Formats: sequence, C-alpha cells, structure tokens
Amino acid sequence: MKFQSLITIVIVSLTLLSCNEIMPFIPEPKPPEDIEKKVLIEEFTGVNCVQCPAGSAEIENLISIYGDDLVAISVHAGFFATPNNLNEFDFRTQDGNDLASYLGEPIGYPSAVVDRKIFNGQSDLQSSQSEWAGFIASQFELKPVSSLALSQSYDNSTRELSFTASGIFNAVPTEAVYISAVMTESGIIDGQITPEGWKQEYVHKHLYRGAITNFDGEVLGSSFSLGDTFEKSYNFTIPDEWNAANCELIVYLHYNEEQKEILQVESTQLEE
Amino acid sequence: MYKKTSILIVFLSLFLSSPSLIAQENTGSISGSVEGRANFFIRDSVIGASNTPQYDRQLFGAETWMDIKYSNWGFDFGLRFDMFNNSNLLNPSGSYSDQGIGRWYIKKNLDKFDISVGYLYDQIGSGVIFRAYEERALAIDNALFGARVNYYLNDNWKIKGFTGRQKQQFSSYRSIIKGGSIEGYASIGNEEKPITFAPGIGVVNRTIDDETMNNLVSALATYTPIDRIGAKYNVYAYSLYNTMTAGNFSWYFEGAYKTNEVFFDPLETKTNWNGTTSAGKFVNENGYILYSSLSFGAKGFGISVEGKRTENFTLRTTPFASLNFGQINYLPPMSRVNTYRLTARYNPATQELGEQAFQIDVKYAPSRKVGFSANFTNITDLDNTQLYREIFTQAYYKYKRQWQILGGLQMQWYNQDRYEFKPDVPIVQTITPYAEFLYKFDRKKSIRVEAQYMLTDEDFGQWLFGLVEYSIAPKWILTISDMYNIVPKKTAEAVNYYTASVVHVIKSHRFELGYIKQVEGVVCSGGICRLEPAFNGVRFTLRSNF
Repeated sequence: MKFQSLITIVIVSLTLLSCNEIMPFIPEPKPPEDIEKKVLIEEFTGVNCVQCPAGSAEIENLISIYGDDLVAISVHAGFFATPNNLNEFDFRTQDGNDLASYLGEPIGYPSAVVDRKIFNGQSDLQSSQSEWAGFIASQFELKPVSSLALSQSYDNSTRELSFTASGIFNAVPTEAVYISAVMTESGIIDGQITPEGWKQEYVHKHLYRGAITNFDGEVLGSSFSLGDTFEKSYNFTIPDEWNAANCELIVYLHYNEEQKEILQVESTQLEE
Repeated sequence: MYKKTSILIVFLSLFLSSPSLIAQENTGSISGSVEGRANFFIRDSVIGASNTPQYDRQLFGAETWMDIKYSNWGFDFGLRFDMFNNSNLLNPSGSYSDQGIGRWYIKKNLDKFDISVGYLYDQIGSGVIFRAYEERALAIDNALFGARVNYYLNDNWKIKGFTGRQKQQFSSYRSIIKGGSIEGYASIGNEEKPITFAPGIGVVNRTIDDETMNNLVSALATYTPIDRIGAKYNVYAYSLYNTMTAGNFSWYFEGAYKTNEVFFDPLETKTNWNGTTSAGKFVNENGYILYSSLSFGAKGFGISVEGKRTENFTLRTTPFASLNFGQINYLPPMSRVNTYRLTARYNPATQELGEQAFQIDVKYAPSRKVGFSANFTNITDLDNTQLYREIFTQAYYKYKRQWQILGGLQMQWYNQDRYEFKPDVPIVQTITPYAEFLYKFDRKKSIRVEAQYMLTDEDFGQWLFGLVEYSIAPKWILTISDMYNIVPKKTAEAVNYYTASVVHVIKSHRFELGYIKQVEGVVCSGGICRLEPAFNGVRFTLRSNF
C-alpha cells in the first residue's frame, strides 16, 4: 500500500503543478484595421427553430462590430423551416434547399457556414453559434485572392436591376473560380418560435430570396494569373412580392470543385 | 487515408497468415461480428417523414460495421470496418456518407503490464469523468485514439494511465486527453461475512489545441465587458469512488470535481454590443457531481435507492462541441429504462449543467409465480423546477410454463419545454396502463400480445398501442403492431403508425425485415437523448457473430 500511496501523491502533485499555466490574452473587441477580405456567413434557420433567434441576434451582434465587412445570408431550409398555420409566408426556396444540400444539412439549428471553409475541429462546413465569432475573426486576418467591386443601377418603375462585378486577382487561385449573385431581403415580419414562445411580429433579416446565378454559381474562369482582371454584368427583374427597398444584392467569388471556399464577397443595397 | 490503408494491409496480413499458424501452434483465435442496417425511405408528409435528403431524393440509406478480433502470441488485434451510405444516423435531418477503418487496436500483455494502442474503449468509475464508448443507435463513437497502460500491483490493485485524442467520425479531435486511475479491492471481517470495498480514484485532463484556443479567444473578444471571461487551456476532473458490500447491502458512491473551464451555456443571457440580449454564451465555471446508490437484495425482495446532483459538469473535447458530440464523460441517467412502446415515449435526457434526481426501485416476489415491482423517479433542476417525475408499477403472474400475464400503470410528468426546447408547451402528464400476455402452445411456438393506452391532453394527444408477436423458436418471430393516435392533438385526423416485421435466426445470425411507420420522438440511450424525426419506410437489419 505504500507504493500505492506514493503513486497517488505523485499523480496529485503533478496535476497541481500543471495547473500553473499562462492564460491567453483576450483582446478588446474591434475589427482588424485595413480589412481587405470581407467575410460571408450563411446562416441556416427556420421559423420552428426555437434557438434560431439567438443565432440571428449573434449575427447582428457581430455585424455591429464588423459593419458591412461581414455579409450575412439567412437561409430557411430543412426540418425546422416548414411554416405552420400561423405563418403568412413560406420562406423556403428551391435555391435555399439546393444550397443546404450543397453545403451539407446542419445537424442542429442554428447553424452557419463561414466563408464555406472547414475550420480546425470541423468535419464539415456547418458550425454552431458558439463557433461563428472565432471563425469570422480568423477569416478577417486573410488577404483576399481577388478584389471585388460592385456597380449597380435599379429602375423602380420596371423593377429592373443591372449590375457589374469587377476585380483584380492579387494571388493565383488554386482552382477554377466561380461567381455567385444572390438576393436577400430584410425587415419581413412574420411568425417565429422563440424561447419566450411564438412571436407573430418577429422581424426576419437577411432572408435568402434566391440566386440570380445558379445556386452554386457559374464559372468566372478556369485559371487566373496575378494581376488578371475580370468584369461580369447581369440583369435581373425584382419580383413584385419582394420589397426592393429592403433588398440587398450579394456577389461572391468562390471555388466550386475540390473546395468551396469564398474568395471575396461584396454587397450593396439597391439604389436608383 | 494512406496510413489507414497501411494499417489494413498489416492486419490482413496477420489474419490471412493465421490459419497456418493456428495449424502449427493451435494458439490463435479469431472472432468477429457484423451489424448492418438498410433503410428504404417512403415519404409521408402527414407524419413529418419528409424534407430530408433521404425522403426527397436519396430514398435509401445504410450503415454497416464489421468487427474482427484475433488473439495470438500474447497479442490481441482488432479491426473494424465502418460504412455510412446516405445515412441519417449521425444527423437525423441530414445525410452522411463515408467509409473506412472505424477502429483498430493492438493489446499486449507483459507480465504485470498490459499495453494497448489504437482506438480504445474504457472508463473510470461509472464514467462521470471519463468514458470512451460506442453507442451505435445514436452514432456515438467516443473511442480514445491513443495509448493505455494497465499495471497490476497485485491481484487486487491496478493502476491505469492513458493519453490520446477522441475519435471524430473518421478523424480525431485535436484536444489531448490524458488521465489515470488507481482501483482496487479489499475486504475486512471474517471470510463468511466479509465487508468488501472496491475503491478507486481517477483524474482526467484535457488540453485544448492552439487553433481551438485562438477561435475561443476570438469569440470571447466579441463579448461586452459585462460578459467578459478568461480562458484556460487545461481542465482537470477528479473522481473518488467506492463500492462497499456487506451482506445483502451494496453501496456505491462517486464524487467528482471539475476545475474551471470555458463552456457554452445555452440558458445564459448574453448582452450584445447593439444593446440587445440573446440566449447562450460562454461561461467559465467549475463543476461537480455527486452520485450514490444503495441497494438491498434478499430472497424474493430487492430495493435500491439512487441519488445524483450535478452542477456544470459538462466535459467535452472542445468548448465548441454541442449536442452529443465530443463528450469525454458520461453521466448516468436517473430514471428507469422503459421498454414498452408507450411507456418509453418520454425519456428524460441527463442534464449536464444542472440536475438533482433520485429514484427508488422495489421488487417483491413472494413466489416463483407472482411478482411485483415499483419505481419512483424525481428529477428537478437546481432551482427545484420540476423536470421529470415517474411512478411505475408492475405485477406478473406465471401459470406453470404455459402462460404468463404482466401488467401495470405508469404515470409521468415530463417537462417538454426543457427537454425538447419547446417553449410555452405545458408539462406533459401521462397515465399509461399496460399489459402483456404470453402463451406457449408448446416448447417452440408461442404468442405474445401487448396492449397500452396513454392518457394525456398534451403533445400528440392520446395513444393506443397493440402488438401481436408469434414466435417459432428459435428461428422465426413475426410481429405486427399499431400505434394509434386515438385522440390527436397535432393532426386533423387520427393517424395509425403500423409496423410489421419478420425476424429469422440462423445459429448466431439474425435477419430482420420490417415495414415501420414511427412517430417523431426523443430517442435515448442511457441518459443521452436526441430528437428523432418521424420515420416511414422499410428497414432491413442484420446481426451476426462468428
């Protein structure tokens, strides 16, 4: 028993000794200076998901820190997105369903894909609410493969939107580059389950309305060299049921073969 | 992938060369098992069997596990192939496909040592600080990928040490887990009526990797000053446990303490920079768990009392892990394991952040023909909010070996708001009488009938369940059942959930084919539960040992 007592003392002593670690420094919350790479967060949500309002609030919290350098899309898709009889609208879209399948259905809601990248500790693209802030912060540290600028004009009488995406490559992409353009709408009031119960006057933000391109984008080019430029123009008619004043045009460059990572993203409100 | 292929080649070489070795030395032994499940999904939007990839387009999903074990030359070798094809096991509302070597291990006995490497299953005490285990029904495979040494001081005392990383599907989490325990056995008193002790102490440490810590720091950096906390790389959990047996009494006690660490508490309120608040934030807290059971067993009579109190005892590989993922420990459930369809409909999942619970279980059998049992379970949170309560009674009568009848009553109070995150729903209160009758026509043929009725005004409303099972032992079992939502609360019309299945057994091989229509519900194994969507389709399962 003496040997056992000795072993016990050794284990406890080693444990106590190893408690003495240097804790990491927690910095003040502020966006990194001179952000070049904007970040896209694609949130998967549903009107019957009780935890999803907390996820949406977390995105708004992060937007309040990072401003328009953080671009958000809220996709209603999957098990929790089926509207019930208290809902006026069905926020699900075919593009949204396809996007959920393309990026991988979340295991739990709320869930989000940050820049379509698999981060340390992840086995897929989806991440839980507690992970978003860290992943987003690490993406802001990166230099973008390409710049991306948007110019647009919108005619409210015809609801015709014309826009041009352009940019220059600052690095050589590792595979073919795709471009996607999607529309979101904010300020839509409809029912949502919340931790306090059903809230009929819930304000839905960044709602994914659909893709202007294919839901998984279209090829911008199969190879680019340093300094190459691009310019791509589109026309799109805003459907009548969308409130154009609350719509946001989001364009992003991304991979779509071996990887799906977002290279750069830009967004703009519709302006006449 | 290349490494795993190499491992496979090494193992196959050992197995393929074994017959000749067996012939020469007759010392090796090989054994194994296969488990497979194939689901054919049939969309039924009325019951909610829809809007998943399987129902919408894939229509088929399958899982297979094949285990092989080989022992020779003082070594034990193990290899398991896992396959998931459009499987909804990992994610009930999604689809998962992958395959490969799910487990391998090598164990060598060396005098007073045994050393194991590979994917290891093990636990300390009852598992409250460390349990590496597999639970296929919930897609849990928390094997420790690493090394373990057991040193036997003598016949009664053992020291264990281990280190590794937890398995994550076909890869591993990055955090390092290490720990150890000292366990033993001692007795006092005379040899006829000894008082025995099986004490143990254990410690487990988890060290977060740098990338995970960077993400955690980035997340904490977005917190307002009111919610701001620090973070540490290391967390330690200690436990002390003992089983004392004296005559007809047995007493188990385990107490565990966990040092401060950062974890995500979904019930805490976070203040945001834009002035709003939202549910869920990281907190930095220590935790503890106290668990004890006392049982008395004599001829025809047994009673056991269990109690548990838990506070902030979540212990995961990373602070970002949620749901059933990345759990280093296992908290034992504090409710009886119900087996009948309706009595098992509402299960209390173990609450790792705060729970106090106790249960009493009594069994009395005055003769071999008659027996009675009763159970009372009560679970609250630390603020005494009722989470779950159950009163369960059962009685049986056996007439010779020809027939037996069994019946009883179950009453439940189930806090659906807390267990299933359904706000504003009332406490589900159920009264469920149930009965089972078994009649044996002869030594081989028998029929079993079950009937249950769940009285409740909440959730789906009232249920009636009936089952008829005809067995021709040992090869055939034919079953039909219906779970009928006789007073529906969620659908306009009452829905029948039919099931029909046939089981065929050939020696140690079991085949089952059935049509299953199953209502959504919470599926639990032990104290770990998850929400399962409704199922409609055909399921084939295979289990085989060789």
